[in-house]
Amino acid sequence: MKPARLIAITLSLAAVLHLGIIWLVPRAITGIFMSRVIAQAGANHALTPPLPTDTARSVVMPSPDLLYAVCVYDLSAGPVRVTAQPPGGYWSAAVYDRNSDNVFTLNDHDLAGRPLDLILTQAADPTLTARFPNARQVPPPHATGVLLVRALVLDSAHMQPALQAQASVRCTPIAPAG
Amino acid sequence: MIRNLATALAVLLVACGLAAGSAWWALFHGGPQDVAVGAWRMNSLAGSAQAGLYTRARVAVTGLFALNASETIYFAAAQDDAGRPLRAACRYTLTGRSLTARWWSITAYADDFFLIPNAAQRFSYNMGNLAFAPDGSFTLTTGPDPQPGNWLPTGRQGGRQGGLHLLLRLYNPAPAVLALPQATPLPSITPAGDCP
Repeated sequence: MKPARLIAITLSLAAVLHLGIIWLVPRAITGIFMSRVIAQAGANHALTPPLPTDTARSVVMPSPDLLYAVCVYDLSAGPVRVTAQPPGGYWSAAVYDRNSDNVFTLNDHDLAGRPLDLILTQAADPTLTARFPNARQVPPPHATGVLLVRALVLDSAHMQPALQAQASVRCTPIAPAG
Repeated sequence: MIRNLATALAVLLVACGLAAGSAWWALFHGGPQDVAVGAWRMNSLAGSAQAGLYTRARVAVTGLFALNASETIYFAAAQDDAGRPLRAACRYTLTGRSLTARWWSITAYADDFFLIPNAAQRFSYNMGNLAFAPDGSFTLTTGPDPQPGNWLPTGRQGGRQGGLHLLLRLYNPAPAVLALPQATPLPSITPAGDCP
């Protein structure tokens, strides 16, 4: 085979592999994170880690000013309801697809004092509206992903309300209507 | 036959090497940053479902689970105002004014993008605990040794050449910041004294 052709084949193959790696990286990193959370708390169950410090190693660049709660959702067996009671300060609930995209966010201003009541579902379902009239239905792009709740801890006075808000996060699979 | 197999194997190995090397470079040294303000860089599509292949991968490596810009804007600095790489062993002075967001913070990270161990257990400053001058400005010093005033410890990880990353988070940024992030007045980053 001519050297020029060999070089062209090598470079073409390298380009395809390069794009494959770049495509795979966010999915692999998110997948590893999800596996670790599932190993600790299970799917569709909230994990409530402490305020991040230098020993936190689960996610790069954690904010030391935010108390997180995390839930890995798996909608393959049906919708999952997420409820929480936000504290007085900044608070948000963000839904991430399995490729790490932030596909939905709601913060305490959006809720205007109301508790969080979300239903993660693969398709909008009118029967769920009837059963949970105050819940907002959110259809993520895929059946699995991550829900991340952030509560601001500006100083020590914010810690207790943030801890209460963190403890209030519930991710619960919805049982079929009986 | 054997020669063809050896050639194919060599092509595959070289292609894998090139792909891995170029991907590593793109993830840690390249990547699209569409906004620059002084030493600070941001990507307005970070966290968003509209992010491209490279933005999504870079965010996963350096800031997994970023929020999209309407909720939070992230400005990152790995260089000082003169373009020199930030080093954890050096002292830097950040000077600026309060930012127009619901809340904001400045956090220091080591080369590995995790928080830096330090005896003071101080990892960031936010608008609530930063001491401001009477004229509304603030000065923040980063460095491994205690400093008067607002001091953000950077430890001595990685020795003299250990890198430093600063991240400025603006939660619920003001509409003007969201519309024109490149016009946002951000803190300057200048070396303070000699660097070992």
